[in-house]
Amino acid sequence: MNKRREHIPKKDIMYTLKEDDSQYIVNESYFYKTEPYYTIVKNENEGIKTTPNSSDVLDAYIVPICLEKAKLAGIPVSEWIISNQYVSLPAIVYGLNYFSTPSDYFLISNLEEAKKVIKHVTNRGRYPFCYQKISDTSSVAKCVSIFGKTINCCEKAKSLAEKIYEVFRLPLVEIVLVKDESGCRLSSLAPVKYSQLSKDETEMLQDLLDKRVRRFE
Amino acid sequence: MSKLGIFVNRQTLSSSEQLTAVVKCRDVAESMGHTAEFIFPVDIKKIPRLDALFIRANTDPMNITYVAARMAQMYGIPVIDDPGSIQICADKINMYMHLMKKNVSMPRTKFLKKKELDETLAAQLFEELGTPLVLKEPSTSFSVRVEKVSSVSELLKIARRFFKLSDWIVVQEYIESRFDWRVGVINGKLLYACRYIIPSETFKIQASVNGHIVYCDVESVPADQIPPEVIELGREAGNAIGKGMYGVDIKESNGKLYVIEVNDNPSLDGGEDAHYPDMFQKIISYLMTGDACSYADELSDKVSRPHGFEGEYGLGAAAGMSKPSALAENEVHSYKIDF
Repeated sequence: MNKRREHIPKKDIMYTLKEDDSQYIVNESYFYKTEPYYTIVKNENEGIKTTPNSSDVLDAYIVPICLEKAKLAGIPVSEWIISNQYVSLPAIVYGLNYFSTPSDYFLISNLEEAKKVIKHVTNRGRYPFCYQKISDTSSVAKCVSIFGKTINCCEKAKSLAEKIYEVFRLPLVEIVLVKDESGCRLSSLAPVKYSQLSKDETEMLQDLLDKRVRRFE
Repeated sequence: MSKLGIFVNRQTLSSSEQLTAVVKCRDVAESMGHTAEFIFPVDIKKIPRLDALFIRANTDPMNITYVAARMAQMYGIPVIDDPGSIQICADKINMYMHLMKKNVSMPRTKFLKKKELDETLAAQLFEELGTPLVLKEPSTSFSVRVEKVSSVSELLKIARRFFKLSDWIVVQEYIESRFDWRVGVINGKLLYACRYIIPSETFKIQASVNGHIVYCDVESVPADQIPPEVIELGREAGNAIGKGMYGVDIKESNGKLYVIEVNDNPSLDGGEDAHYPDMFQKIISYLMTGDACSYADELSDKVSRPHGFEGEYGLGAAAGMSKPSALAENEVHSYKIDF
């Protein structure tokens, strides 16, 4: 079997790339208390420099922290608000609790939808939620970043992906953007299933895994 | 005059003891010449305008307290608990890794991974660590999702339940004792100490017994009556985590001390400060100036006095112990969702 076929990203498989004293962990997600998360934590406790690190991972997947950190790094972001009950419409809504993931966002434009979604994401008012006010003309776009590189995305998204990789260091991440007449802003960073990748993205990931693995072996 | 924010949530305010404690904290801050205000989750954007933030709500990287702590850190605002301490202490895997790295005395501990669980490994754990064993889901607090197991089948059953919440769990040798020391430390110095008297019906500080929740009793212990080994171990454990405020739980068994866990955001509302009337003052002082030293030095002085470590609270004394006693959401043109 050749190298290239060995490194086809397979569902639920975590790839560890070693370079001198440091490691890159490539996985579909890096959620708290998962195998990749604990691999990172263990490495850190053993003094192994690991990309991403455990606080980068938490920062990336918790929407308000992600946006504030990105803003401080000069990345344009959607304005966010934490609320228990109130929401301005139209908006993008994210949950803020153990069971929420930035992959599950809700676009709401009327009160009926808002009631339903907010009851769901707050578990009937038990948890707060995060929303981003958007304009009537806003649209949501997504692109996948592989070590900060993108395929078939606009120039603006391409440049954002590079900056986002510099700040959050997630080898594989989905960038959720809000686009309107005023430009393109970060809304969240979310995990990516290997199966979600386009053919070109899969090839790019394979190439990067192959090149790096060859370099590291 | 500096502005202190006290981060609270609905749960904090639902308990009269916790409410009393945060009001006391606010009053102490004001008596020290600071202004103090309660910060609710919806007020999180006010954090950059504060001079310090004191979080008084259950902390976890997956809840809003972590957002508050991280916001404060990103804007250079001193915060207790800092996000690093939350990340470590709220996760027993990470916490025990930090204690192990610094060789802090603790029960023999293994980490069990979901993908490795089988009967052979379970049997091996009993062989290595003895019977019974204690299993902990990493996000446990108040002894929730901490179970004692005595057989392979029991271990497998509980582990499978915990693996629904985490890919790794903690397996630990069981240390029996009738009370836990709780040593409060701040920036590596003693802040307070007390004993948690374990209810006779259980081995946990809080448990459901026949459908009723039973809690441990809290007994504040004067600084000059705490065994120095207990203080030293508490400080070592705190230092293994960071420079924040921690409640270190210590058990004594057969003359040896073990750190059971290090809590960020330790409870301060159960009478822990009965012998430490300046506790809040020192916490606030540390937050505002980075200095809790004078108070801690005073305590250290007390504990080094002669005959400070004998008698009722000395090591091995367990048998002789006695039972002790604005929210405003005013987003313009926003809609309110009623539940």
